[in-house]
Amino acid sequence: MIRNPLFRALVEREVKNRFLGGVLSPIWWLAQPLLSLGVYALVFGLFMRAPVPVQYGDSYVAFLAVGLWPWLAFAESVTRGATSLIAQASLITKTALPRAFVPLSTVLVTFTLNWLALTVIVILFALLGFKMHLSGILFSLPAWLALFFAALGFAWIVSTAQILVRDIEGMLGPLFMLLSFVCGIQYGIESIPAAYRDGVMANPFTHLIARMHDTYLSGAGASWVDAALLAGGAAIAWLGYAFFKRVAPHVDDYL
Amino acid sequence: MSEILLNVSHVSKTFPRIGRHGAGFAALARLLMAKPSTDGFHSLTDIDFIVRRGESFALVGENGAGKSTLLKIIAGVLQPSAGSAKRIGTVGALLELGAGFHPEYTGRENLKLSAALQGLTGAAFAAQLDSIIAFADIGEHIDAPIKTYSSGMVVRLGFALVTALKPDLLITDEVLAVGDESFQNKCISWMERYLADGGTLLLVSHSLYHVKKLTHRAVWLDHGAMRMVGSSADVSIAYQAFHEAKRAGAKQAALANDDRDASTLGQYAVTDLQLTDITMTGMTVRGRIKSRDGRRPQVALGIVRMDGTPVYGTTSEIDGFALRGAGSGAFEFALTFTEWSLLPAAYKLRAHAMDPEGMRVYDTVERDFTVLGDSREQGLVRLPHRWGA
Repeated sequence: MIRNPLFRALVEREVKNRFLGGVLSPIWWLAQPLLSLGVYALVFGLFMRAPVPVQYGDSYVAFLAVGLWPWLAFAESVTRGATSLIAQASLITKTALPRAFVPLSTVLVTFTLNWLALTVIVILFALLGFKMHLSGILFSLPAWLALFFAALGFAWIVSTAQILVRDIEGMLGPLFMLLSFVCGIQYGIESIPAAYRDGVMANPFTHLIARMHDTYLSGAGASWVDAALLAGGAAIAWLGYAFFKRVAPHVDDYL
Repeated sequence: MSEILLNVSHVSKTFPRIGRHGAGFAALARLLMAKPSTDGFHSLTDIDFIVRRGESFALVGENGAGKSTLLKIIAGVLQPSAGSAKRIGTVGALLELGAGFHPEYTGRENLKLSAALQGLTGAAFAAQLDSIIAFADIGEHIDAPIKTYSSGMVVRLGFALVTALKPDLLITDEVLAVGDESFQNKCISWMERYLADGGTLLLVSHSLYHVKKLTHRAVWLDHGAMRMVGSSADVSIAYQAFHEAKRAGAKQAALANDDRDASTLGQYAVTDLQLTDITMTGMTVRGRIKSRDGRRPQVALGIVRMDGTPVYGTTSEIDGFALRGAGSGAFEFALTFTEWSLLPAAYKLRAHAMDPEGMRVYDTVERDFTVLGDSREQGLVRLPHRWGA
């Protein structure tokens, strides 16, 4: 599929879309997550003094960055994916474009940009002397891939569902905000009262974010957890594709 | 028989009725269960035809007849509710010139994605790029965003891309209706060359001239159903006749008034009118006129196009012909047209019952007839002519 020239043209266009128009566009891919990082660091790090789990060193900003960027990649992919087909309505209703490519290119570009941004930040932090393992760039890849698959599956579902039920995109924002607070991004799981901790541990994203922390901050190597995460991600992607294949050929009637 | 390029088999399309804000969970659930939509707007019903290589095809029909929907199904953009459209070989679709162009990107950038959509990529695209840009003839604008283009420039770029594709089957929707005269001519001459080189065209056009010139066979769609399928010449004549009759609606009403006058007066009335031996060169008209006062009436016979444009008319009074009495106030006549030069089209013959002085029309009766043929000459009649240098 990556070799498909049509898909490549679509990805190229998706990348250009991000950088066209605004003055800040060329640096937005880095600036936007940095702003989110700044906001969270201010609220949770400075005001609320959220403790960094001891195994992850002592820098709250480094802890936050490593968990936040993958999460933003996921949330942004699904949110952008939700409107991707509607945004390309003129293209998909007038040309025989394979429709699955549209959400796929959105998710791929969003993940690539966010991964690049975090990689730049990780290298920068390491150079500045923070406790940051460059090996994490390699060993976090399975977790990134699992997250990518999950995002793709959800994007395929919401992109078509959004056309028929236009309230979906609006519900995604609050949903993702809630989810982000219960998977250990802004504070360690230890900060959550024991009564609720089992619930949080049942959330697969908690384990995924933990793998990000482990690989980048503690220098952990490959783990069996990766395999489980990948299997879960692939299952979501497969389900999403099955959903998409059923609904997408008929969305013209509703666009 | 040459190879089949397109097989449209019992295609139907129903659009669901939807509100302003999408369709809701019910529609989503229905799609997931793969249940067909039960009610809605029936855009196409049981469309069935095949297109063979080298046998260009036209779709004609009024606005809203379902032509564009059918083309979208054929191009694989839209799914039919029932039936199938099988394409064999490469298909180029030009559903709407500039479809898929993004306003923020330059002409060159847009060409790339559009070309990829039509299967022209990589080195093949690079090799064709210069000739595409040359055909579009929009100069340095090729590197400006499409949003700065005039609509004519967008059209040029869209068609220029198609010229590079040379697909087995080219699907076009009304592309000849846009652009200025010289660009239209350029497009038509390109299409003729494409057809001469063995290309096959599936054309939607309101221009019957183009239909007759560019295609061999045609389908007439009427409210989503096939009203007629046959040679382009035959379908064009029938379709044109339908339109002329429709335009003549107002005039028909006026004629109906005359008829009512005739029935109140009832002095002279056409009681029988038959057309026989209709050929490309003539026909015979036989009729009978009832005279209430027993005096010998006159008859006027006229040929008009379906929209009422007069072609020729004469009367028994002008020609000095006396109708033959057939007893009890009935008078008969017969008129044979020999060697007429009517161009192939649908016509009406009008017979008017007149008083013996040939002063006043008392009654009018019409009969439709069609002169067959596949001439592409324009106008009403063929005027004898000779070419020379």
